[in-house]
Amino acid sequence: MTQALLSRVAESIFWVGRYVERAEGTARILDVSVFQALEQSDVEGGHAARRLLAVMGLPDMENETLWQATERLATDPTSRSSIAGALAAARENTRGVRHVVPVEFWEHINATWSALPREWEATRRHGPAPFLSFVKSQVAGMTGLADTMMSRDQTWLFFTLGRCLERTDVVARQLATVEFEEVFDSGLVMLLRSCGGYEPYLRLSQGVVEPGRVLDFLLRDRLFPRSAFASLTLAEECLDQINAGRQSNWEDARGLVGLARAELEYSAPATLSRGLETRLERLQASISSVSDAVTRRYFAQDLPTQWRTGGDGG
Amino acid sequence: MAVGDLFDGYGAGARGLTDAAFDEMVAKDGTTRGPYAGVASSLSQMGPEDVSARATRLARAFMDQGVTFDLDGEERPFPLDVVPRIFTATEWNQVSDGVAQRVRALEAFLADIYGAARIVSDGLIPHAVITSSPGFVRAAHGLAPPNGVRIHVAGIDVIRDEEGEFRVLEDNVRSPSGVSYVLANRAAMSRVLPELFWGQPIQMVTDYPAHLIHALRRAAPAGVQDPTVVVLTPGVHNSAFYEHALLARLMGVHLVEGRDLVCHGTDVFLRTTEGEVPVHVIYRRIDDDYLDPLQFRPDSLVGCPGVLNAARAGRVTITNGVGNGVADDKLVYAYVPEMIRYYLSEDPILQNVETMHLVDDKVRADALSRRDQLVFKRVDGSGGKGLVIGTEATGAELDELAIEVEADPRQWIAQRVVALSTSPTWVDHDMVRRHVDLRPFAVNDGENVWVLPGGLTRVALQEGGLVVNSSQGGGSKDTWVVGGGPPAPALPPRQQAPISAGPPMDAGPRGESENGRQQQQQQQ
Repeated sequence: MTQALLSRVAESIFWVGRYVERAEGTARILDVSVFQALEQSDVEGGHAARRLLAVMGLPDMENETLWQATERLATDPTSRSSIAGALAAARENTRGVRHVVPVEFWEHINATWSALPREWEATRRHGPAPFLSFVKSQVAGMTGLADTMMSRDQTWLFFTLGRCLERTDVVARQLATVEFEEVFDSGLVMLLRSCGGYEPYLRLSQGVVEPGRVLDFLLRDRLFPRSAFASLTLAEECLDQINAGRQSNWEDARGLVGLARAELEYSAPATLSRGLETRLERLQASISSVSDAVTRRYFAQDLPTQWRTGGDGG
Repeated sequence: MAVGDLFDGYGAGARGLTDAAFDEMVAKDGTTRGPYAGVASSLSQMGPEDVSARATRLARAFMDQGVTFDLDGEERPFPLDVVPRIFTATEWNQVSDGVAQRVRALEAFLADIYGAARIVSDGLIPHAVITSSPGFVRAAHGLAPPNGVRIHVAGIDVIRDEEGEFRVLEDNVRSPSGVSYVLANRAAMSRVLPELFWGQPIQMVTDYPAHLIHALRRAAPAGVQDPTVVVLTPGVHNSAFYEHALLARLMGVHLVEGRDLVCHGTDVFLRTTEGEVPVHVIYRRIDDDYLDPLQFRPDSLVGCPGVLNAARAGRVTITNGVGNGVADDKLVYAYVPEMIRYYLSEDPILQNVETMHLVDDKVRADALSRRDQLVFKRVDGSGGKGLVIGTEATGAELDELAIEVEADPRQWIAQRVVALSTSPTWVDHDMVRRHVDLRPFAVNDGENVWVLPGGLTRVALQEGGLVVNSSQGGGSKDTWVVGGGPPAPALPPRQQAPISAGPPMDAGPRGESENGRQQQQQQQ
């Protein structure tokens, strides 16, 4: 059994995991969208801009160009969806719990956060490519330090749980913006690349890019760590260890994650694309519910309180 | 000229052939050609300091990505120029149609020559021209490809003469290389110089691997539903290894060496951790001579013994076809316009460069007497090997050439020195005129010959130089076809295809701002 963690500390760590993963996801989506738009003669980049904002759940400003959307998603400090906003939140949360994370981990996040304005400044001269690759490699450093430096105690478990939930959310968001019935090959390639899964997918499919297989791969490939299935499975494992054998029921985080995972796992391949929109909405909603349930159960401990109150009143 | 400082005095110092050449950007009357206006003004706005900085970053990007070629055992980056080469859709359609036409004619020629050889019996090509070709492979007789395709990938080298006319300089239908640079150049340019791309409807190149894998899968032996395709490379020390690895990666297939393959009877297998797995299509990037030590050079260590037999039995398809070399023999080249009329009943869309047959005693005597003004090429040469440019060679080199030609005239052709067109190129902090060529790539899937829009532009970085090969100090340029492409993949009108916004992202931890405020108050 792992050692218990202060609820407040656990909550911060959980959100560090989510924000770090979000920053990476956003960097990947931006990288692919911006350069695909340039390379695929989407002259104004208007459609790419709208897709980007839709993925991130941000309001679509009238006539916003791809450049403006990129700047907003990279730098807006007021939004938790932007790279700068997510990294600032990750850094702020780490700062409060720096006593329980490896010092190198904290320093890496802190240095990344303080370098962001400088890196973005260079974008004005050289375009966003170096900025985005900076973000991706810095996040790889953070997750690498977490994986190689942290004990597999609750600190690591909550951090990883946060990452897994965010990763599932990012995949679901991306899938939700693709019209699978009328998508072009290049649209599928873009989707795969922005999920970081293009090359693994190609090796699996021997180069055949086909909507049903792409959907199946991103939703429930067992070996690709960014598929919804793989992320949910790891989230389940984290929750199991956090619970350390204590019973859970279906409305718990553990039950909700298991339900979402099982729904993907036991759908027949042919039915996967049927009612896809509803399925993705449900998946995104369940990630939010899991996040809420984790909060109730481990951070706020609302449930036991309510139960006791009810008992006393009777 | 209205494009600003960077191009002031561009081409002023050009002499000789360079002065006579057609310039891709600036017309004879000094005006900038339409498709270049945007790029010229973007570069001018940047100014020389920034342009040089970008050039440095392009080189560094290539080093970081390992986009290199091997020269004498050393890995070098292939220099990429900051100025793209640009075609209008109209110009490009001529090149594209001409290249596709040529590939169709060469396919017909190969099918004929390894079959009934009607073109010889009809007297269009002398029998001796075929049988004396170093690329003619008797073992390829009766080796019928499953979907009729022998030229799955072609690289047809095209130049522009002094008048701006496109001409075919040579055909490459064995294992043409260079397409990886087309992909790498576009990716690097859009990342390092994104400003140049805005507002330019450039036809995309990224789907080349998808076209290639499609064509390779269609070439599979009959009855194979889900073929296993592999890329066969000589190995990591080959000069084009980077390209072999890139194509395998972007097609999701195994990159194999000869020692990874094994033949049992007439079946070819891959040696894997899961045991032996059957192979159906081999996209080989090694020469015929080395392909199968049982059939060709017995000392080959990079081939696979028995693979030719397997192909003859129809169990595996070798792409490009064995024996294709006869079609890109430089003496056979001279007959291609006739082939187009003979097999396709069409007029050639692209002309050849005038070529002299040195087997004829009178022609040879005339050519050798003017050898300081002509280009001499070995008929099976490629990559700048076996190439002597009379105007650039020394007297001693030319005398040695004369002896070699007299000894075996079938091995050589002579052509006039064409002043290849020039393009603005950034060299040593200066915009200068440099000669360029073009290698468009075509993929034949059996139904359709698809030509990658743009292809590889190579540039001779030496002043006045005409040899563009990477092994001889050449560089390359990103090559654009502007306009005329299929509609952009994703531009539905706003009303018809609304993209529904996803839900806002979760945020937490709870109450962080309120807590923060109170914590700050505690410190005061």
